[in-house]
Amino acid sequence: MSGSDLSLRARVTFDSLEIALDAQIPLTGVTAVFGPSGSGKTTLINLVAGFLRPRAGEICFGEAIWYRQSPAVWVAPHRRGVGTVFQNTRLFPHLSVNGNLDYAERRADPAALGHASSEIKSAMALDALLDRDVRTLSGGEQQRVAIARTLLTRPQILLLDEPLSALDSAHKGELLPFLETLKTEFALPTLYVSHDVDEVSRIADRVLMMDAGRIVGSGRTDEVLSRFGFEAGRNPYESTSVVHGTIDLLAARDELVAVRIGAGVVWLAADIDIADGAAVSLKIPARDVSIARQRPEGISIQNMLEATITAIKPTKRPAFQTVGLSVGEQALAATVTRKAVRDLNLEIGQTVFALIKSATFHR
Amino acid sequence: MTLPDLSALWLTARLALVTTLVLLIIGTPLAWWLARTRSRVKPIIEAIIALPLVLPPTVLGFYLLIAMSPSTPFGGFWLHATGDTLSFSFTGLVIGSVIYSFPFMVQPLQTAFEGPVQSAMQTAASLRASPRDAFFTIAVPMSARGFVTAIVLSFAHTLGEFGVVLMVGGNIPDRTRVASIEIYEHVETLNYADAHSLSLILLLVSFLTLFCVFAFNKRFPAHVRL
Repeated sequence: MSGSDLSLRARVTFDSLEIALDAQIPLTGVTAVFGPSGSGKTTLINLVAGFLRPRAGEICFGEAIWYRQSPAVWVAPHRRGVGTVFQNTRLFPHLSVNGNLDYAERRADPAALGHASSEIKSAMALDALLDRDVRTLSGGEQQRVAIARTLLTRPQILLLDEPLSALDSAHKGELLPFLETLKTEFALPTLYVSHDVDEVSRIADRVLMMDAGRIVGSGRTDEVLSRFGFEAGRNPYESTSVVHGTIDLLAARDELVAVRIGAGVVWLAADIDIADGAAVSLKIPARDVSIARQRPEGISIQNMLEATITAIKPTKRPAFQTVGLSVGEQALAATVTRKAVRDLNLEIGQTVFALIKSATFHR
Repeated sequence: MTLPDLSALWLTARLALVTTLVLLIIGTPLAWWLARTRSRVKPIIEAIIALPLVLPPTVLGFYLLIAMSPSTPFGGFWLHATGDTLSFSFTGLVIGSVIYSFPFMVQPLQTAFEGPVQSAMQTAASLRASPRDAFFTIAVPMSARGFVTAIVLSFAHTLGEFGVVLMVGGNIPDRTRVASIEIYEHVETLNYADAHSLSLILLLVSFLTLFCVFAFNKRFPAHVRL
């Protein structure tokens, strides 16, 4: 064990998932904890913060022991000097912005070094917000207050639990520069939980890859991401396509609504009142899209779109692959088995038929 | 209004105040425990606390009277320690009222302590607040509405109590004769005029206390802003 590592060896059962973690995390820079939902990322954060007590193992922060099975050691969360920023900001609703910040600052370790509170507030651009009621702030503003509040406790380590996930994409873009400021200006060792490849590749120096309650890989960000087949610009865990079309009331029949997508039509059983020609978006889960080389006959699936294969990529599960399709100008993803890709001789550039088992109106 | 009526009203007010205070002191930690525990005995404790809601007050009063009798270990100990019997005393009334109004204190507090307050406690710990510090600075203000509801309901419920008080305390003027019993007494003696005035007072006080709760809850939808 090195004196400047966060060393984690812990077993815990959480939501019936058996989690066994073993990691040495250097206490410099940003380490992303990356993996699909339910892989144990938040559990790892909770073990470090002390919100969850393991069944066995040892958790050390540098020379300090925070948990040990035997001889028993347990350091309570409020004595660890861990600053946690939660997914949904968790500002105290009964306090103003200033009240939330003061709450943290009054409890900071007086001996701990850190930035002046005025520096922290202006780094998060809070000067104009101090007197506001926290319930009137936008999601991004709330998260900036939450980050400043955590910094004001002068933590030894920062845990960011999917700080962007509650924000829409416009506000995400707004907050990301602040996270980069956090990294360059405050230079605290940071664990950054995320399932977004773009965020991770932009912010993290190294990655702990998690799956099903285990750490399955770790190392430099670019190296780990490419080893596991991830690349920026594509999120493998959001395997739902959104395609745009127009309502065609003339084609509607049998209580179904017809949506024209390029040259094809998708039928939906939907009890909605939309004008003819209205532009709509459909959400189509990749697992509900199958692929046929020829136009199939005698099949109950009615929704088929002619498409061109643009990509064939691995997924997190080795048995499956994601086939990228273009329908006219639009992208559609299909999850199929690796065996199907081989048996059908699917290749990039081929013209195929996408069979859509389900689609829902998007917003 | 006659002198005995004033004495009955004063006794009732004292009983309701002392009962509410005792309930606040023992009900708060119990509600906190219930809001956090995953223990298997939790439903048993919850059922016991809710019992006075459905049990006839006379049943509760009967068992309390038995328990307070000097021939039982508890009643005997009390007589030995204080030189007075529990039954037919003010202390006996307080014990009876506390048990009878228990759900009115514990249930609103337990509801107030669940969910958001618990995650706020975790947040406070991440800001270096000790559990005790976080309880008073976060949990209590966030649960202000629950506290007001619990306190007012316990107080009002004790004001209106009849069966338990009669069983445990009897009907001793100045000692255990509370307003509700005094009204009964007036009606028994066909003194309708005094029964009217005392009933009206109880009606108004009860309405006003409940009105305060609803007005407060309307003004503070979820919690008090400090």
